[in-house]
Amino acid sequence: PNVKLVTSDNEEFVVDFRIAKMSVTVSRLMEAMNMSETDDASLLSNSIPLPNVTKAVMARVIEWCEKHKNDEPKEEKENDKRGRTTHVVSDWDKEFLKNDEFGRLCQLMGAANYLEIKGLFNDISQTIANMIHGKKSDEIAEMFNIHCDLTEAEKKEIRKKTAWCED
Amino acid sequence: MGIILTLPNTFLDHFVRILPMRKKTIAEIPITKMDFFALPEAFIARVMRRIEIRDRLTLRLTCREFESLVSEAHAGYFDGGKIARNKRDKTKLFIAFGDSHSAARFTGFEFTEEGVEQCLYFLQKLFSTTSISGTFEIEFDEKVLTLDAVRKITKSFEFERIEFSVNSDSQLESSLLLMDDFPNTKYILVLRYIPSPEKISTLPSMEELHIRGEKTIDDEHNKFEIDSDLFFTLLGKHDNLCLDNVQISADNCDKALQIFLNESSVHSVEISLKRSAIVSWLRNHKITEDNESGDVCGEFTIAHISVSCMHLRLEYTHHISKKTCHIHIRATSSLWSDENARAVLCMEKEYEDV
Repeated sequence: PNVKLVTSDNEEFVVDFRIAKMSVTVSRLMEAMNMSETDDASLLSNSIPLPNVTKAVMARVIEWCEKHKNDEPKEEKENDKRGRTTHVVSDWDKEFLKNDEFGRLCQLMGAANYLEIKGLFNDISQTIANMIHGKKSDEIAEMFNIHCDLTEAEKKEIRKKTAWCED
Repeated sequence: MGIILTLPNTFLDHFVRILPMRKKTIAEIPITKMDFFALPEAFIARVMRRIEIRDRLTLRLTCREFESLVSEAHAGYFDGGKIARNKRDKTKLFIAFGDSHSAARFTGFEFTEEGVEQCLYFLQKLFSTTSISGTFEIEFDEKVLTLDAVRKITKSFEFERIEFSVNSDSQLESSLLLMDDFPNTKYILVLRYIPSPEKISTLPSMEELHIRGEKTIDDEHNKFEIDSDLFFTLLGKHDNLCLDNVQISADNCDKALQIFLNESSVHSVEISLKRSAIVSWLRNHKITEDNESGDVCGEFTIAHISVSCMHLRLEYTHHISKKTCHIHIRATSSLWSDENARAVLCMEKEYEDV
């Protein structure tokens, strides 16, 4: 069975029920609208409005969901402060996100958050952390559109207080 | 147009096949200039938790806002860590977070009160809180890594498990007091000296208790023995026990096995004791050096007996309750050769799936 999703710019996406269920937000809306997998009529007569997602972003989200629709559900307790390790971004996901500059990633991250697709959200936040990894401060500033307001003397002081600490 | 028409059919077939694939990615997200700090706070916090320590240092040099963000943000999750006097250079402090590729080790701080203060300042600039999964090792010291110093450093930490290596009564006292600060944490206590039996018996329940007594000089070490009363007190109390110099009889080995099986919280027991006690216990159950792997002796099955008779693995199943455990006995020479020497008896249960 298929589910109709309508974006903020009125684009309709018809997606597999399994893909729709990957979003906690869409799942809840379907429940509220009494749409069920076994009731084709309810799926055909309703569409899910997603006013916070544009068609361009939705297309990317669906592409990610298509790839991950058969993944085993991961039991990651959000507030469980113990025993959690770094999120590992799979090779496919790295490839999927590699050409997105920071602004695009933010839009995608916003959609993943609104749609409550935890795997995609974690992928993006880890990708942003990976983008920072190993870069120099001026490279990071350029990537994030940040104007450096530290004076050279201040930078020197910060370096002085931390440089001797590292192994 | 003309060019396309002259192309070979194979290419056209391929081109037609890739068209729908391209169509999927045509809807491109518009490029927007985005300032990192325009992200919702919750997003920033999530990203910050994933940034490695070294990168956090670089971020501090990017701008004032990042400088304060780094110090106010959660540092994420590290798998293990340690704070102790540096073993390679005893004039330095050793502090480490994590044991994977993202691990960070700091060995530049002097092993002095001033060095601890500098370390504290440094950590405060790097994160507000951090969570340590796995085991974080703490080694107290009477002068520098005192309870007060370690408390200051670990104030903003969340621990899954702390391992204390303790060499004196005062260090033991500090460890017990620090445990009060982290009531939901699991503990491993490694006693490298021998406290009084009263002190040992009143220790709170630990995930692991090791009594090694390495610091004691040989003669004193040989004199120290954990008698059967103290052993049975500890056996019912701690999840995993590892004890040197336990003095129990062959009959007490049976008693220990039954207590071990029936205490659901106890997972493993490893004790070193005189071979004479182990050999006599094995003989009571008709297990001798003539047995071979696969032999069944009452409730015991011999899983493996090494050619040198230095290692013996048994499977035990209680005839009524059907509870089972693995038993591993190891010695530095044939178990049956020198009954006055020591051997290690280890009992272990399977972890039950929760």
